[in-house]
Amino acid sequence: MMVSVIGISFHTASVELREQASVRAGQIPATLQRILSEFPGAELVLLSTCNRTELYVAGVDVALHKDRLIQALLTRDANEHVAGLEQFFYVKHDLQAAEHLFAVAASLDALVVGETEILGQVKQALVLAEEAGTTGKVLHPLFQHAFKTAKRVHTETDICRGRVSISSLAVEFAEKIFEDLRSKTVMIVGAGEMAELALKSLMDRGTREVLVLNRSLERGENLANRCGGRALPFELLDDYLAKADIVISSTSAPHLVIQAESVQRASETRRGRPMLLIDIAVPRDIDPAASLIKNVYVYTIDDLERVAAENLSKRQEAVEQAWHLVRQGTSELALQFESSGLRLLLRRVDEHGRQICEAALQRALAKEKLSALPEPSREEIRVMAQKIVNKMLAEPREALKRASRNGEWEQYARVVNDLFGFKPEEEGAQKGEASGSTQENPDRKIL
Amino acid sequence: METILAIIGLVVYAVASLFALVSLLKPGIRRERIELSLMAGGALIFLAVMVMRVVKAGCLPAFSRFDGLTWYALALSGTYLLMKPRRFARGISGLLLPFVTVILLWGLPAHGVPAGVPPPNQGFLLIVHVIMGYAAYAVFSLASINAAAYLIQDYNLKNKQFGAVWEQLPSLETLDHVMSRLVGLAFLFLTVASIGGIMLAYQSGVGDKWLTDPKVAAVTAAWIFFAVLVHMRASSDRHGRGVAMLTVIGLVLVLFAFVGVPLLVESIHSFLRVRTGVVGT
Repeated sequence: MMVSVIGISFHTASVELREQASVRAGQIPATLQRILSEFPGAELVLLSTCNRTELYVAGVDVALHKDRLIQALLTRDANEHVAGLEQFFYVKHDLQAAEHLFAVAASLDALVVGETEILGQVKQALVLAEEAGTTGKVLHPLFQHAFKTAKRVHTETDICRGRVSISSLAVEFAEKIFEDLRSKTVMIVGAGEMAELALKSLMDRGTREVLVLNRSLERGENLANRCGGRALPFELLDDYLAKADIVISSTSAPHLVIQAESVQRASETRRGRPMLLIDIAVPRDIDPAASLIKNVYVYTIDDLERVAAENLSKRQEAVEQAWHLVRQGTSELALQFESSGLRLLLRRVDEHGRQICEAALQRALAKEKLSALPEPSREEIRVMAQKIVNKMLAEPREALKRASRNGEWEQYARVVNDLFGFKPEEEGAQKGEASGSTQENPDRKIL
Repeated sequence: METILAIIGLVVYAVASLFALVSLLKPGIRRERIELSLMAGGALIFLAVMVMRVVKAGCLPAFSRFDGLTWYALALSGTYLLMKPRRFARGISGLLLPFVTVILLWGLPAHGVPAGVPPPNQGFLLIVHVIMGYAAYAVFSLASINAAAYLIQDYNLKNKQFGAVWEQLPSLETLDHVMSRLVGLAFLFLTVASIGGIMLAYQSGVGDKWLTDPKVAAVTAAWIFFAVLVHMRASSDRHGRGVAMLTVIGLVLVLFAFVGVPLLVESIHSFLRVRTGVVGT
């Protein structure tokens, strides 16, 4: 299959190092073009996220050109080069590379197993590569197969069930209470870091309005400016409470900040419309009695952490099943590539036999003794010769098919190439056809 | 043939209920598809049975326990199947299908009883009265099932029970919106059915007797109840648990008007009790 991945990830490098290696989405097409200019005919897809930067390559012997590829990957605009990262890169080939891609897309090879965001990032990587014109008939089907496998993993296992971060859980709770977050108002009480993260997750879902209330109005305004919200004096908390559908509180106050009576009044004003109150502060900001009010749902940091831990544990239980699907996907892909390679190799063997037969016949029939033969007799000789060749090739053909079924395709293909003396150029062409690539590349070798 | 088909239909509904309950506790797209297919299949089988009864009776058979409950179950299933692709209605079938199965099971023993004696007028008004009546009962029942789902989801959220049922049921607001629309639709259907019934009473010579009929009184109570619910949403903008609880209580009222009254007392709808003991609009 001649596919490789070369990359750096959270397994091998710290966040500081990964930041240096990462390529921004806007720069990816140019980076791919630059690498392509060094390796004409190659297929390339570059995946760069906060946890990994990986280059998927087809049509290049990565084992041979690893250093050049890393150098090309770490070269930025104006030939600026990021040095000192080479030792953190890993390389995987063929089925291992495919399995790695499938595991990445399915979010098995991830800092937090089961986060589906990565699948979108892998899809985006393929789109950018297509825009740059660096994908072909090897990487495109490979990635499509990865998407298919990831979808199976996501739907057939519990790997993605439940959120596992505090901020995403805030969104999950909100989505179980409200139909559409785009019409909702979020109130942030206290400009803490965790509240800001939760707010960001909610804003990603398109919440309509953000109100920020902080003891220090200046700090509140800073946060409001960052998130396009409105800063309000802390004293107006009770007045604005009824306007908020979601309240996230994270002050460092040693006492309760939101009283149950205030929540009761707000709930009455809202005429039974639900309110979600998330208390991330320790000690708590929201009066626990507020949870007894009808249509008001209060969650503390302990609740969020408990759910996160339970969800993570459920995901871990599903990991083995998910890996099984990934391996199954890899085997299917191998079979797909092999069967296409097998067809082409058999065609090549047949063609080889036919050419030998035709050449021998032409030589023989040109000789004086046979040249006078009538056409029916010539045809009979031709048919007989073809039958002999077919008979001789029948057993090798069957052996190749058996080998493909038994997973011994690669060894047998190599032997057949040696036996029939297929030249490297022919192998390269055959490989290109087998994998569907139309690009010629001297670095290519047969399956 | 009818009996065999009805039994097969009931078994299909029972299996669909089983799938729906399992899906509610352990979500799965495949199970959900099987459950929906079974539900549609069961509905089609019962529809075929009713078509056979129409052909046999030569009129709309809606005047025996079997007919009444089957039309009701079909209207419920049909409304849900129509609603399913448009609204986020996951998990509701876990409550709806067992309910429909019980309704069909109750009606099945009366299957052998003849389709009932139709009232003298079999004109357009009767058809409007009967169909709109069943549609109102079915749509309001579905609203009540949504309300029950709302209360379950509210309980889960309040008590921090984040299990499979919590995950499977839609958001509170979604359930609230669906509930509100269904109640409005049921109110409209019941209003049309009632107007049709009044006109039918005068046309068929019942005169003013309908005014003191127990069934009419029960349906009027249900109509007033619907009107209050619609008003609470439209004018007073009330939402949440309180409205959901009222909607669930409304189901008791609807079932009382639908099956309770014909079972308990004589009325101008007493032809419904002919040899069968129940039910009609």
